[in-house]
Amino acid sequence: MKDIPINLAVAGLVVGLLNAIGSLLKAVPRVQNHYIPFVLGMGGGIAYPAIEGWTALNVVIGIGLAVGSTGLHQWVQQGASVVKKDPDRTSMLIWCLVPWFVFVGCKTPTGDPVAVRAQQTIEASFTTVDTFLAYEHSQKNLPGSVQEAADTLRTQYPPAHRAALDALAAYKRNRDAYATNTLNRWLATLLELAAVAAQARTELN
Amino acid sequence: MTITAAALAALQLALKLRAIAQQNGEWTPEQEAEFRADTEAAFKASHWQKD
Repeated sequence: MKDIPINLAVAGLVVGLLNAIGSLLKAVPRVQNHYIPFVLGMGGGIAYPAIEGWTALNVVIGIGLAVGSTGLHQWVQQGASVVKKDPDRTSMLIWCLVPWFVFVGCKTPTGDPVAVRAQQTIEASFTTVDTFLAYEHSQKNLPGSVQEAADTLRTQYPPAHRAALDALAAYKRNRDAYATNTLNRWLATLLELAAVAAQARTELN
Repeated sequence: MTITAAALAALQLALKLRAIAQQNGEWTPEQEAEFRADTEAAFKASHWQKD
């Protein structure tokens, strides 16, 4: 992916300015809260290119900064409320990691994107199902629906996993439309099974 | 399960998934064989067996 040329000093200035404008708008009773992100978005789309030059990219960067600063404000507000409710501060740890996940995020594959995304899907599905089954196995008196989901996965997941790995190997030998379709079908199956684990897991919370 | 233990388990899973999402190159044949062997070993573990 191409780097986006953001002037960090100007970006900081714009974000600070937008936060100040946002606070002022909140103090005005006639301005309803749900209009503020829109007004700030417009403000960012004007303020950043006004300093850095009027190009389409700079307008987009300005709007992005405005939306980002609105999100940052929400994140701080909600984080403060989470910390108040959770005295042992575990939630705070997770909350602090959220931006790290968002900003460090996924890398663009340098290899064949089909193969890289396929191996990520296979590995992530396996990890999700394996974690769920390990947890289910370690607990007693779980709801019947959760045990049923676990047993379905114990039966259906291993053959689908092997088939997906075989389809990936076949794709690497012959990278054509047929091999891609076969691979995608098995990946969809793995994702469905991982969704079964994720759904069962939510029933426990 | 306490909320703290559940949150930590979720965080651990999230970290593993994030590490997977960070991969940006194709597996070498050795890495693929290692992954296959690891997962086959996991399928033999007790939590993958039906009671």
